Amino acid sequence: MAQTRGGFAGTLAAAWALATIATGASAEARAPQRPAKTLTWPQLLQRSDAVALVEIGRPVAKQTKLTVGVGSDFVRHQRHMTVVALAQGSALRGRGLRAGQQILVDDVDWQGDMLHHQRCQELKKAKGQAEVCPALADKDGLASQLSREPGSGQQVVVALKKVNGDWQLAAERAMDTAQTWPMLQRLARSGR
Amino acid sequence: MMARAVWAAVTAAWVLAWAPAALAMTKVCPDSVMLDGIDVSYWQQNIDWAKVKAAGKKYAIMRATHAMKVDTKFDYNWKECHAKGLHCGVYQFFEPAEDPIVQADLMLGMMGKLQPGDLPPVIDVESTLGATPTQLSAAVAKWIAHVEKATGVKPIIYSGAYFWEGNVKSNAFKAYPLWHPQYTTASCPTIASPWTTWHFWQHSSTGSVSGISGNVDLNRWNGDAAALAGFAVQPTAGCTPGCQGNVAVQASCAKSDCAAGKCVSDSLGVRCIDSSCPGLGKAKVCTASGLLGDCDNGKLSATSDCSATGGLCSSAAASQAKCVSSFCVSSSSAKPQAKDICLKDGKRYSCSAAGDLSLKECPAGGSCSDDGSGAVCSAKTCAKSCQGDLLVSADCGKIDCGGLPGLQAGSCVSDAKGPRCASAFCPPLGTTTVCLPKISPAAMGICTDGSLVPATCKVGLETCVAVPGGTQCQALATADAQVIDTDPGPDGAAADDLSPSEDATPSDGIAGDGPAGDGSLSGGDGAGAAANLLMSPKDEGGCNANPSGNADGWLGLVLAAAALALARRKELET
Repeated sequence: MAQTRGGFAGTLAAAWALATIATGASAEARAPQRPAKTLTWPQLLQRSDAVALVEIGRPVAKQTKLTVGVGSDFVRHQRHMTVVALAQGSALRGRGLRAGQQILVDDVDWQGDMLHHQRCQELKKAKGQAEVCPALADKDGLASQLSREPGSGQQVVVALKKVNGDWQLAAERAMDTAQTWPMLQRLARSGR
Repeated sequence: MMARAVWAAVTAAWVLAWAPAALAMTKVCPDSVMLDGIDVSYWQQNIDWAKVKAAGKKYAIMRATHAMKVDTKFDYNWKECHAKGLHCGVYQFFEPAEDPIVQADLMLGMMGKLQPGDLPPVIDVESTLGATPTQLSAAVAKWIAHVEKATGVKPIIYSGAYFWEGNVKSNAFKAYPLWHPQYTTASCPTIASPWTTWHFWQHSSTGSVSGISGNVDLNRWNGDAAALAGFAVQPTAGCTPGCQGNVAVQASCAKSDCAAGKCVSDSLGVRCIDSSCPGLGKAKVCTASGLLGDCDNGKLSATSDCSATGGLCSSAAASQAKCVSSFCVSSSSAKPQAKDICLKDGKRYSCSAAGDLSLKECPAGGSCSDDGSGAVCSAKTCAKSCQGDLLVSADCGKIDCGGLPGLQAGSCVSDAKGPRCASAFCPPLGTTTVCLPKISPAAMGICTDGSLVPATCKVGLETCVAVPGGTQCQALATADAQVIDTDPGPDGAAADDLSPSEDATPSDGIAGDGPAGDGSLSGGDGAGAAANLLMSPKDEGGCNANPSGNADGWLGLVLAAAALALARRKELET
């Protein structure tokens, strides 16, 4: 298992490095310069540390508060996350993930939410009136079959990436319906 | 038989368990006409609203927030939906664990004032986060009451029949319009029991609409276009609130002239605000009269005068107005630049990019000057001169001649020898000796152009007496038997006249009382002559008037002392 994980991680790292070299920047850094990509599952697998079938639990606000601005005008933000429980021994390639385990996963666009809110508030204050805030640069996301954020109790497939000890979605909207799971298992077995 | 009994028991249990919920729901078929619309959120990414309009959608309901988490596509969607002339609505995914009022206020602030044609706001009730039905319905009630009061319209409730029946179980909201989600191809949905009809039906989450990539929720309005228009927010009877020039017009048609202020129309309504302030939030501003003011939602709550501390109010120094140094900017609108400046006190100061002034001392002795190319420090120079008893040196330092220690104290003199301090015991010019009886009978001094070097008579010649042209050392018992002329000549040799002169002894020890020497004491010669008068530390015998012999030892000491004294004087004077 460790060997499998190591090999996968190496492949991932190589793929990520190649992607970074080819574009000259990380996905986040280059986001403002180009439109978002709609990713297929094989592409998303390359970016993921784990893919899992999970059941959506309750959303939480992580206790680490992010504060933007100073004085009385600051805006407080919390890191929005969701508890997901791994279903049916369902993790592909994820080190240490096992059935029934609950993990915290960053919500879709929580960082964008913070930046957007801050920028919008600043604009409103600067102009003294309600302003339509500029749209954030889009980030790559899965061509998801979901039309909305999954509700509590719903089973979905998620692609995850571990960053600084926290699980994040491997891309924006890196969620799909549970019906995708068998296809992904076949995909993983085929080594793609 | 046994099997049948068991089966009957199981069936009865199932019916008892599930029948109440099933029975509580009502199948309600739509009116003859329905209108198609969509609901969208961040998950639909960038929507081409022109294509949505062209696809025949008559209305769109968009997510503003998920509890306190803002939907980053809302502003774009809200603006574009209106621009395309659709009926536009807002929904908030409600989380009972968060304060209902705070959640509602976030949504209300994002959507602003509802416009005619807008749909009432929606509370999306599909999450419990562990709340009991009582807690959940109480939280929903708070949200609804708050939003209804703020908007003047009855909010819509979005909730699935099974969720409502299982988690809310309340009949208290049946007067509010229902948006019912049920993904089915059936022609009639089954709604939760409190309601007898539905307004919107979300019938699919896998719809495809031109202008939207991926799946989107599809909805049906239970009625025709006229009914939808009638359901939407109506134009206000009377006046349309807004600003007419600088006059605020309320819905009641009440008008108020904002006069010196300005009229704004924003999420806080139509009103007059201070002309210096933004309409929303708190800010520091410069008022028209140059004061630093605190604004709170358009009102000027407090002011302070920057000029009281020598500054002025600047709106260009930082994101918020602040007091800056008037030495750093020329006007309140000028952006401060980081630079060094010279002020009238000759010192260098530093202006920061924020307009703050701080002392930036020049290196010791330097002064600040600016020829237009920037402040620079340069060495300070002055003309050497006397200012009363003060001697001004070349580096502009000042020496108080009257305050010099001991015998050196005197006054500042300026003559052919230049400005300098002269001892009060010495004449300002020439070389001579003076008796200093107030110190001791044997004390005396060697004066050179006002500079005094202390000396004393040798043992055996303990009395200094003034004589014409200088002083003499005499023995106490036979003062007239052993005298030495203490007057140094121009060449340093002792004068011929060795007679004591009582008259010449300065009674008060002031050098001016004695006659000035006729030559200057220069180099070792003069010092050598004076040294003849002095008691050697090693030779306490009589006076040695002879420069030769054992006088060489103490002669050297005196030379050194004189040279040191002169050097010190020069050091002080330069």
